[in-house]
Amino acid sequence: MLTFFKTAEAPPPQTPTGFFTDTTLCIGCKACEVACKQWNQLPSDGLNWRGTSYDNTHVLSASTWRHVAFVEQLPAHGERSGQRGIESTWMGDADGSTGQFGRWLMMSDVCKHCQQAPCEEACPTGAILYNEFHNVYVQQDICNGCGYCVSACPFGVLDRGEEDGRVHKCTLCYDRQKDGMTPACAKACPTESIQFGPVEELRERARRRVEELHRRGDSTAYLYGDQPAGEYSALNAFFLLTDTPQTYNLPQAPRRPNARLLPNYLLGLAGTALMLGVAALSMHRAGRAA
Amino acid sequence: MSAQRAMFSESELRREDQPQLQLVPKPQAAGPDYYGIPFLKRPTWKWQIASYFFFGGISGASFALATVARWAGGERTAEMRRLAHEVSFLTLLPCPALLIWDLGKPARFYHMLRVWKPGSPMNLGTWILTTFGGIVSLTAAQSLGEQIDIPGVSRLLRALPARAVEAAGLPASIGITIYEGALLASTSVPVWNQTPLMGLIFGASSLASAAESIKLAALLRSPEAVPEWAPSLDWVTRAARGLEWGTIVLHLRQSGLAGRPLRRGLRGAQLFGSLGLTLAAAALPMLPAPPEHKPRRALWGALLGLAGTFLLRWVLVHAGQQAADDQQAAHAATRPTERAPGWQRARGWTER
Repeated sequence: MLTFFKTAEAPPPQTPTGFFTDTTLCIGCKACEVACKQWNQLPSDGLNWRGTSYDNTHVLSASTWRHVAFVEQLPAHGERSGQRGIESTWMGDADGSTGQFGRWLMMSDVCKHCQQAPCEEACPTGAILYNEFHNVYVQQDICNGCGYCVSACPFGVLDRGEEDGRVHKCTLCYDRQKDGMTPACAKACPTESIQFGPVEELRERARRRVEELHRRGDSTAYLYGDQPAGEYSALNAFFLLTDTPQTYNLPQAPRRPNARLLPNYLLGLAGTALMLGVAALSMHRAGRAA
Repeated sequence: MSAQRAMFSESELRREDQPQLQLVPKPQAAGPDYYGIPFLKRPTWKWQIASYFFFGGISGASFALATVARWAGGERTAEMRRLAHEVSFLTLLPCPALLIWDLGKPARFYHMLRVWKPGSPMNLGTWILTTFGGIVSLTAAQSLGEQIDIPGVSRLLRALPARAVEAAGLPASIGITIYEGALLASTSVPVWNQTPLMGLIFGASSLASAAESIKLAALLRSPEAVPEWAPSLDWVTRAARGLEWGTIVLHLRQSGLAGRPLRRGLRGAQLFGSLGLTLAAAALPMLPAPPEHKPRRALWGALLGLAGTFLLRWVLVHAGQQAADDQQAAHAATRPTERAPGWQRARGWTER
């Protein structure tokens, strides 16, 4: 029992690493999902088709650490979409009578490995920490399943496993990185939609990619999470998107939960002090009058 | 293929001739979000946490009221003070069990105490609760030592400066009531995190329910008469309930669409029920009644108020489930602002 109160010496810090997920290159093959499950020995979730898209995992969870979102933007029947570009797809019927343009957006979602992660700030046991690669990591021998990080994460990444009661999420293949290897998902990605490397390098590469896309006429490309946005930190796993964040089931502008802490404490203290003042006054009167 | 292509003229298919066909975000057939799938996870907290917030709040606020009673009320409120300490001790008893029950790995509860991390409200709360538990146990032992004579031990306990112990417990006791709200507020759950008012709601609500609990304890002990110091507690209840509900209304107004899960459906009905119960409880002692009915009225008033408080804790905790599922509310809660502009705006995104 006392071993938990001893702290081991932290390994020397390495260059911060992360993911750059370029959604314009994703072909929705789900090789990342499979590679992740295989390497991390995660159980199957079953094939849960919802009848809305080719997405059969729907969300990130304790057993799904990479999730490929399939956004199918097909125009309503009889209407022709003006969207044409890199992802633009011909959606004609077999007889060619109702040909329409639509597009598929695919995104391999993953833990964002925030530079100032709400889950790390919330964790009461110190189970969640930044490892030497500045990746957000859940120590499975420490986590006691309090669930606070589940509510803290603005992206809904962390999830408590039903079987073992602990929280699981992407480790950014900490074990592979320690051996100098590329994380399984990035290794398996056939189109380099998932790129792994030092974060600074990835950011440079991502900005060049956005410029290139803009030059080619895809003016909607932007980076999600490459830099801090107000109170929210930059993400070490960031994305190149071509539509609104909501389209990919990402929050438009995540908030930093801990920014709410001090005002809550102070207002609560002020209100309680006021009420205790009322109590003191009425008790003082009761003490004299009776 | 050629038959399909013929649908469009040559120039339509060549992008350079089509400046109006720019890639712009436009409403899609699939809807503005991702097939209605929530992007937040449901909070893992259930009835154990709702119950803990109820008991913990009463325990902390009772201790604070006991301390105030000693300073302000003197000897006339000595009975109230003793009862408040008993209430504080008894309501604290179930708290650790409830908190441990809620964990995914209950056997690892003590991991909460392996680090000192005041930036995490749950870690800070655990330390506050541990400190408070020690102090409340000490006061309970002192009170027991006054009543039963255990050779040696009683003398030791009497030697303890009661005022100093109470003063030491006061910050922890107030801390317990406020951190509960701050704990919910510093999450990404829309129904909790939109205002800085949760700490205030929990602080006020705890004080009101503590005053009712002390009154209830007195009436359970001697049901034939309302204690003479009871009106002073009624004033605390009234003031705290006013502050509590004023703050809740403000919280709902400020939260906008993000507060919808608390206003609608089952949770809305429960919140309204809680308001009704606490209002009825506050009004009961004010209604004219023959003297022989007064103790019974007071007893019912206290019970109704406590039921209302429990219901409030229940709604506030459980509304987190609906809030995580309501992706419209969740998106409304993460709309870009000056403090949190998001990345879409930051990169010069043009909306049409």
